[in-house]
Formats: sequence, C-alpha cells, structure tokens
Amino acid sequence: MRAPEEVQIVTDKQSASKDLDGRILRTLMENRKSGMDLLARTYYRKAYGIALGIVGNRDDALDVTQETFIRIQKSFDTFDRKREFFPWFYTILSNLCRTSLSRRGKAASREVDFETLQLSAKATNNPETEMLMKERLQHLREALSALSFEDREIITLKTFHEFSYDQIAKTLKIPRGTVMSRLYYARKRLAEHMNASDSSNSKHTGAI
Amino acid sequence: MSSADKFREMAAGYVDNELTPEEREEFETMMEEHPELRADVTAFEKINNLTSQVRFEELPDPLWEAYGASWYRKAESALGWILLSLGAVITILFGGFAMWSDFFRDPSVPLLGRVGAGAAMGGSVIILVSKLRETFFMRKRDRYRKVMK
Repeated sequence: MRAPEEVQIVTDKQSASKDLDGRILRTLMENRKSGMDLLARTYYRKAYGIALGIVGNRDDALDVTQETFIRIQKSFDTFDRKREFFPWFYTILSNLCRTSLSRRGKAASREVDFETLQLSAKATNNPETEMLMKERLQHLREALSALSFEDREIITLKTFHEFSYDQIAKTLKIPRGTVMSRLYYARKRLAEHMNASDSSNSKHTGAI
Repeated sequence: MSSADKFREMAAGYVDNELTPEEREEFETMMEEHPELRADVTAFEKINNLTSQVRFEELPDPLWEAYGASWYRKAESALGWILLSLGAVITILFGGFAMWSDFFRDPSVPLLGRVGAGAAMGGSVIILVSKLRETFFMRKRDRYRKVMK
C-alpha cells in the first residue's frame, strides 16, 4: 500500500505532467517549431528510454525516437485536442517500435541484446557480489530478449520507467485490471526465462 | 477456476503496492492458504530487486543536443524531398509531353536527331530507375550498410 505522502507525490507528478502536456499542446498550436522544440526537450530522453526497453538496442531506439518526432510533426493536425497528449504520442512510438522489430526479422533477432542495460553504481559497490550481479544481469538481458513485444512493453513501462498502473492504463488504453493481469503474466514469463538461463548456466558450469 | 487463480493476477499489484488496503489484506490471507501465491510474490520480488540495481546506459549530453536538433532538420529535409520529387515528376511529364508533340512528331527534325535524342532520354530513364531501385530497395536490405567502406 502506498503511504499518503507517496500518493501525494504521484498525484503531484501526474498533474505536473498534465500541465506540461497542456503547455506543449498550446505552443504547438501557436508555433509548430517552438512547440516541437519544447516537445523534444521534454520527451526525447523518455521516448528513447522506452524505445530502448522495447527494441533492445541503441541504434534502433535512436531511429525509432527520431521517426516518432517526425511523425508527430507531420500528423499533429490529425490529433484530437480533447484527448490526452501522451497516450497519442506513445501510440506512435509503440507502433514504430513494433515495426522496427518486425523489420529486423528472424535473421537479425540477436540484435535485441540489451547490451545497454548496465549495473548501477549501487550494484557494483561490493566487489564480492559484483560477479554474481553481472551474471544475473546477463540472465536478465537474455530473458528480456526472449519476451514478446507486449510483455517487454509493459515491463519497460512499469519496471524501468516507474509508471503507475493508472498511467499504464491510460497510456496503453486498457483497463487497470488488464494492466495487473498483463504484468502478472509478463513477469511470470520473465521469471521462467531467467530460471531457464540459470539452469542452463549451471549445467555448463557443472560440465566443466 | 480456483479461488487461488482469481487472486494470482493480484500478485503483481501486491509487489507494486498498487492494491487497496482491503485487497492487500485479502491477498495476504490467500497467500497463507496457497503457497503458490507466495512463490509468485517471491519470484517477482526477486526480479524487482535485480531490476532496481540495473539501468539503461545514458547517452552523453553533447550527443543529445546534436541529436535533438537533427530531427527537425530531418523533418524539413523530408518535406523538401517530397516537394522536389513532386515537382520533378510534374516537370518530367510536362517536358516529355512537350518533347513528344514539338520535337519527336515534328517532320522538320531529321530522323537521326530524333533517334539520338530518344536513345539519350531512354538511357537517362534506365539509369534513374536503376539508381532509385538501389536507393530504396537494395540498400535497405543490405545488413552491412552501416559498415564504413
């Protein structure tokens, strides 16, 4: 259960983000170039971070991010101003991630390697556990690579970008209960893939 | 569906602190009766513990600044290319029509001149189509296009 202060912080963040989206929309309507500059400053890193979590490598994430902003620039006139901005923005980003992954095809599937996922400073402080953490990180990378688009998408939003369930529900346009259910199954499959990597590694170590 | 199955999906909400106090209490009671729920929660907490210690590598700031500015140029350049291509198509069609009616069908122009001009135009079209095919189809399928030559 969230503490009242935590709930307050989340609510404040959501309302600040809504205000910012409103400002971006107003600027976009008044002056497209200034609006796009503000949009890029606000969302470039976030969009890149989400794309990176889904497509799994830096080059594709950069391409997808850039293409997202170009699409927004081209199709802003078709955006329904009564709706919230971020879900529309995310739909474009997500569709481009999906296209990027499907273009890559089976032959190049190894490119989804999550090499950009690194241990934080907190995890490398202790030399005794660092090796173990590196091994577990590699299992996590392999497990993430093995997940479907939908699983990786919801895990990225929740785990690496700390979206609340309500934010995920709005962004993906699904009910809150579905968010919980999708996260449950995505994590279950992630845990299974990690266990598979663990046991495969133990077998190799045992053979040596 | 067993009662434990109904509660399974709540395991995600439990580890993410997204359940209401009543749901949380209900789930904890269920966990005492169903060890598989406890196993799910433990597995999810283990994953959360690991993911809290990893992060995606950040791009350096100067790269962001250059990259952030480049998308607008790219968008402008895309619009420029669309206009240029459209203009080129209209000009070529109009020029082709004018050439056909005023040059190729003009009996005062010697046959050799018309054949020469026709061959030169045909050759240009073949080269243009070949270059366009290379640009739009073959290079996209080239897996090594990013390798510096």
